[in-house]
Amino acid sequence: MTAVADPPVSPWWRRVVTVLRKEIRDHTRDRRSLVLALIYPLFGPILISVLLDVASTSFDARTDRPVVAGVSGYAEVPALLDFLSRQQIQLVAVDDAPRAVVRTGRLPVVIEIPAGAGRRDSFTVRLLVDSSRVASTAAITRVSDAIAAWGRAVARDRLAARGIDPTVIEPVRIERLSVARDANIALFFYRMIAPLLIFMVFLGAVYLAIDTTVGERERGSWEPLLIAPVRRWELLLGKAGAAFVFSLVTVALNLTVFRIALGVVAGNRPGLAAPPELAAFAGLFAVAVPLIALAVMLQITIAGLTRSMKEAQIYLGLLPLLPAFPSMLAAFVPFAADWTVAAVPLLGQMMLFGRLIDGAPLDLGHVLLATAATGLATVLVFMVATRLFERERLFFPG
Amino acid sequence: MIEVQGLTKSFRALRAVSDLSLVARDGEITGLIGPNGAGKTTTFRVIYGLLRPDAGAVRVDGYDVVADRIAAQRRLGALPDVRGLYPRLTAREHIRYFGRLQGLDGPDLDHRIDSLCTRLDMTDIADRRARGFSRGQELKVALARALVHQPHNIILDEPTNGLDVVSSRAVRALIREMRDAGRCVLISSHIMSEVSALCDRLAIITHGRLVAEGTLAELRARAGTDDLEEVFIGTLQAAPGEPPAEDAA
Repeated sequence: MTAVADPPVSPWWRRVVTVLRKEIRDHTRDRRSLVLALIYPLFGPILISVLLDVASTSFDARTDRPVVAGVSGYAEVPALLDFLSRQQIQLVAVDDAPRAVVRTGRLPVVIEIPAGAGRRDSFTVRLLVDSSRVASTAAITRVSDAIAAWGRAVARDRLAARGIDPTVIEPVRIERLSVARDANIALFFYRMIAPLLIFMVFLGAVYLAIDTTVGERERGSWEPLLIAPVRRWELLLGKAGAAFVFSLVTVALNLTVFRIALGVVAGNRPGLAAPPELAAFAGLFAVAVPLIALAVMLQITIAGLTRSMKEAQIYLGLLPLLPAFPSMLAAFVPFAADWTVAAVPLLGQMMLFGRLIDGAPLDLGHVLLATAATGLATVLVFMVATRLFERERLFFPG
Repeated sequence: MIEVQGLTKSFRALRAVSDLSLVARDGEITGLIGPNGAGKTTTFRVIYGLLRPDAGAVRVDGYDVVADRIAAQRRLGALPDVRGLYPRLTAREHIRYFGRLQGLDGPDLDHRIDSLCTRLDMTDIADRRARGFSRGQELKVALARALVHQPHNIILDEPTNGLDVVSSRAVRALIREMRDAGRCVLISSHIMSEVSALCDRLAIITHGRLVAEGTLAELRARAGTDDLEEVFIGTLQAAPGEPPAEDAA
């Protein structure tokens, strides 16, 4: 072996890219990293879609959908039962233990008609319901509304027979008209996209962040790596870059599955509001990008400060809960679109997420401010992390 | 050339290295030997640029390891005592990663990797992932990683620990070849026969202090025995008594 000249000094970005490529190659071979990045993002969309499907069935009170109701005292008022049958309510005679039939969920509702009701001018029917069963709500409403309608029809006939205008006893009629965008339950579920998306932002690269920092120390690979002529900020940037790429993939996958799964559910339930447009999903992804940068920088910094991978897993496991609380809140009470909210990292993105999901227009100024604020926070965390990574105790804590 | 001048390094109240001075010259193999906890690893880590000295200075080819860390590290190849491989990367990927961090790339880097794999008799493991490697195989990868940029100064901590007889002989031949090419080689070893066979000069440290330094012939003459183990033991026993300094690093 002969003495040779020193290799040429490569530009800083090539060293950063070298570290980034190595970490991506390394972690695409790691089952734990892949499960977090590629499997976890599927759970949220599938869960929300299944819940939406179930809820849409439960709350769908449209009159053209048949419902089944039990009847105790089947022979008492044939005219009422004929009317109900014409309202697409399938009736089943229940003579034994009608309460148990409802309590066990075999039927959503049983109509108890008292003996001799057909011979009286006025009588009371009792609806046996189990209000803890959300899935029965639609059937109960349908049956209740139909019985009331039959009662009004009988009253109108009787008044007409006496030459009295039926409106005399009905001075006010109620007509419900929801002013929600598409007037149904789907909007509530669509608003759950934002908190789950934020959870993914803080989850996609969590194992990579741990393994590339405190994992290096546990493995003993920090020492040879730090002997290489690479500045600490270059290492930090390369590792954060790899985590950023992993999180980008996670978030893109999460949003793609959300769009497909919600689209399938909404497509099969014609009454449901359509999920946000593709452009809105593209907007969600774009708005999430600076948030991903902040999340991975926080993760790398926190993981680097911990003493062991187990300790890092505890802290980074808690980290997504911090943004999760305000984002869950925002799902019920959306943030107002103002400059103050836009200027706060994370809250600005939550506000923009909410508006994109609701189909509301975005203020370009708000987008720029939210992006700049989160970008600035990322740079500040990076600067702090760079100083921390210069400390020898970070690598040799003994 | 590696120059250590008046190096002192403490970890809280623990003084690991105290006023240590030594020079590892080009074209020589210098052995740094001492009992466990003598301060060898701490000294190496300061030379690597990983620890900052509390006092004194360390220069690699004239570059101060604190003020000019990157320039010093570019002139250095090191085999630390902990090999620290990535279990999911192959041997070849390890060497390529560190070659690229040193500024190498392309066919030149590929050629160097192939050459090292052949030289260190590791072509059979070159494309295997490191998980499950024996200690000897890990050492070969770590050694290749340290030498890929053909550094002028080489620090090897226990360079044959875990190797079989044939591989040990190959590594020793490689170390001598680097010395003959005019490079500066600084090694640490607990194997006296290896030290005796390889080193041109020795520095013996205990409790973080240098207690003897010179060529093997000089040290043997001073101790009055040809047995290097006796030279080592005798030097330690003759050293001034001090409370033992645990090597925290």
